Amino acid sequence: MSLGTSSIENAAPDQASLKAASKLVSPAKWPERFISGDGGLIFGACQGSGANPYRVVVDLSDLGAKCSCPSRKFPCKHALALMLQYSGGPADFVQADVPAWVADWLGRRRKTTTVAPSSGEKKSIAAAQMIEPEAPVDPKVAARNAAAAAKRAAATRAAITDGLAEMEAWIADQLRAGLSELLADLTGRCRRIASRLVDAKAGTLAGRIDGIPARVLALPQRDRPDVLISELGKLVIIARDWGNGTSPTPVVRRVIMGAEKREVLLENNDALRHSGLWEVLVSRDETRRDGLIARSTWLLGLDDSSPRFAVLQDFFPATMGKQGAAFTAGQQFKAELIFYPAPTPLRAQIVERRVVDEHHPWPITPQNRDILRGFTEALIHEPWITELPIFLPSGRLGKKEDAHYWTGTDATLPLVSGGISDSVMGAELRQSVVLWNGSVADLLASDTNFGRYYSDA
Amino acid sequence: MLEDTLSRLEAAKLRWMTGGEADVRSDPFASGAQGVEAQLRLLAQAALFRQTCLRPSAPSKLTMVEPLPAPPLPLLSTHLRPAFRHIMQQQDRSIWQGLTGLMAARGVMAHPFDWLPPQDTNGYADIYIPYAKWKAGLDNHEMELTAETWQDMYPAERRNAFADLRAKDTTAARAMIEAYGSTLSADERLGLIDCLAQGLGADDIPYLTEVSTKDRSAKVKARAAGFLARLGVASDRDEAKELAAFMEKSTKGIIRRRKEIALRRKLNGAQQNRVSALLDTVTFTQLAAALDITPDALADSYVTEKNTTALQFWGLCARTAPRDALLIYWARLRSDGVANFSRLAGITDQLSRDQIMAEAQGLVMSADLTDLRDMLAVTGPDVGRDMSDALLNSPFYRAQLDALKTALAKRATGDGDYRHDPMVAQFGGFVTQLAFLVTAEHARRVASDLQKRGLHAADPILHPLNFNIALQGKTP
Repeated sequence: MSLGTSSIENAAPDQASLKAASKLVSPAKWPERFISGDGGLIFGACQGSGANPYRVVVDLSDLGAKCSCPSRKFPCKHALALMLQYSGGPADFVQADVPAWVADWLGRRRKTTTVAPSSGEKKSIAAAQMIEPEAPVDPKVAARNAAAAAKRAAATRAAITDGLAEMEAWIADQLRAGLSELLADLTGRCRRIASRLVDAKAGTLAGRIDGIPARVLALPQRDRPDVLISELGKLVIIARDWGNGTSPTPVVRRVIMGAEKREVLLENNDALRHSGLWEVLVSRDETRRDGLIARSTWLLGLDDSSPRFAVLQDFFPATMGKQGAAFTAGQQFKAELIFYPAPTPLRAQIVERRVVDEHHPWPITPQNRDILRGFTEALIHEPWITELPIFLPSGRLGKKEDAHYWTGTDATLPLVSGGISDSVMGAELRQSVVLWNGSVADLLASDTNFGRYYSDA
Repeated sequence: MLEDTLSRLEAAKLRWMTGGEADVRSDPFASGAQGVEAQLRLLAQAALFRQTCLRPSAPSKLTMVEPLPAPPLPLLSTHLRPAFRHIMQQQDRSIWQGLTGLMAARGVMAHPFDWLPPQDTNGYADIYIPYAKWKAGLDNHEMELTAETWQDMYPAERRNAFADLRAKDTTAARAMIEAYGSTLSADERLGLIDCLAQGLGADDIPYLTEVSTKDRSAKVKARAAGFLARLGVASDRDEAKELAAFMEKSTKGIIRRRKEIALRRKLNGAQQNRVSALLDTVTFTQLAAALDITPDALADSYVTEKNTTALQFWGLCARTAPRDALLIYWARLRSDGVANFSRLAGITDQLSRDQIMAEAQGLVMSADLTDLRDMLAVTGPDVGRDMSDALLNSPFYRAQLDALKTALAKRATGDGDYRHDPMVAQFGGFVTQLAFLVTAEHARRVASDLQKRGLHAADPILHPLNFNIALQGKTP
């Protein structure tokens, strides 16, 4: 099925979308480009500005499209870019079976016309692909902009410093009034101080505080005081590391203000880059109180003898509705990852990714008697971390009353009980990966005598 | 040292929980600070102490479940597991049975991480019994049916063992059910009584007589009475006479005159209810005697219809008619176009596998196949090349393809969403069951037929067919 440029121009919502799409027409941004056996569908994954790639599908019969990006334009620039690539080189698309996420979309979609309503604007691919000469920068304007940016940064620093001081005072108040009272109204009180921190431009830290009730109240009553103390104490540590905001560690800056943009990270020569084979363990969506959905895709490196983990993290508005996951549990790929600089590098972005055909085994890791040693060492360097993936040696799952446990030769860990299937309780777990938060472990995946187990499969 | 720190932090925790002012200047973690500052420093240290210096303690007496049983067949390959889970998301027992049955026929079984069988494994391949037992927390070692193991066995396992015993030693099997049958549920008793069809003989009459009069369940009583009737044992003739009184004989046909027996047309509601009750209790032979004709003559002259009473009469026939009379009446149902798989299902225990498949093949070409679940129940999944050919050449299948084409044409003209068309929804159910029946080669042909009629290659309706095609293993 051929696709003409005029059809794409008609489908595009505006010239700006065509322009943005033409910048994405690069094979490096598209590790996966496929066409269905009947030639009616093209689909793939585009490495956009998010950490997780966007999944894009286009129905060539009517140019209906779906993309997992949060754009409100339809079709979005990623779908248009896929169309442009197909139009320019259909031979580059590899024939493949239609994956479940495409079939699901087809099952749900309503047949609509994709031709965008005419706005009178003339849309042209040729114009979109023209390289515009960069306008010369006026040194005076540049200096003025730099001064304004420095002023804004200083104001932000001051606001955050004040906000953190207010947070410390709030913590002291809670201690004075009694943490049992705080536990009785944890959600409301956390929301109030989080709102203050949003006003103080510490939005990411506010999100962390908003998450405290979920992390504490999910635990049995007897564990709540210890975990609450741990959460509040770590907030104090964060505030102390920030000081007056002139020289906080990059990690604390990220914990308070959010991570630097992808482009900034890619230009950071100090950032760790690691090329290798990765397996997707789990993709989790968490709806936050600030109206965002945090998507975390946990990866396990398969090349090293000691386990290496990475997490791809994205945020998108909950109002966008459910966005399809970028990966499926168990999917393996080769990729170069760049890690946000940290003593324990974990959060990462994909620089380049390639599909692999074979399925590779998990690395055999040396058995450490103290399975929580890695978490302890990470806390020494980054005392504010809330969770860390841990590789567990062979063990089984057990139960006491309603609580689940992982138990091995030298240790036993309490587990987050929800979602543990009956059948994995009867399996021999050769190796497992859990997210340990200091008090309870969340089982992500296991290599068992019945094959691989993924908690969200 | 560690204990001292722990006890100091436990004391601080107690204070923090209850609130109030406290002087913690002397605590080493306060590093000489005072007031609020000292409290915050202590809090920061407490936040890390537990997570770095302590380890979770193991609870006493952790309960470990038994290891999962070894799978009797290879597990479904990893790349097909997502498709399997997708199909099994539909909460429909017939789909679960059809899909797992197809897989068992192709030599693989569901991965226990994806699916475990329900407690009642009736209708599922026997390979799932160990998993049902495991899920129920029962011991899984293989047992032979004896007086001692009778109670320890899982229902489906007991039924299979009982059927094996009956095939080997009819007397021992009857003695077993005589001694312990009453301890089981009515459904299970019914299943075991059904096994008596194997080697049914005069020796079974005393036991069946007792069950037909004393059992707690009407269904079990009726089944025992049916077996007695097959053995030529007459019981209450008065009820048969009462039923015969509701019937009338006539002569039909102009050139070829033939006798016909049917229920009287003008029965009131109470009379119809009574007829219905009598059809469940009277036997075929008794009714023939009450009508003063032979069982074969009754089979040759009773009307063939599609209504509820006709279905009940077929039930009576299937349960209690002598084999010759049963086959005469079945042949008439076939020739009059009212035979279907639901009716065939009632007599499969009296037919050989070859006879069942021959009858099924005939039905495929003539019957309404809207609900293929009945066919699946009769033939089982993966019916082989000949039957698959018959299915794809059947008038019903061709008509369905034409109707689908019309429904999809609506979509092309923008006349609504084709998925909301009732025909397409019904067709989806038909294709799902068809996918469990046909060979992989025929599944490919069906998928191709549907795409030629305009269905998208990735339409979810095709999922079960694609699963069938992708299943590796033997194809009959």
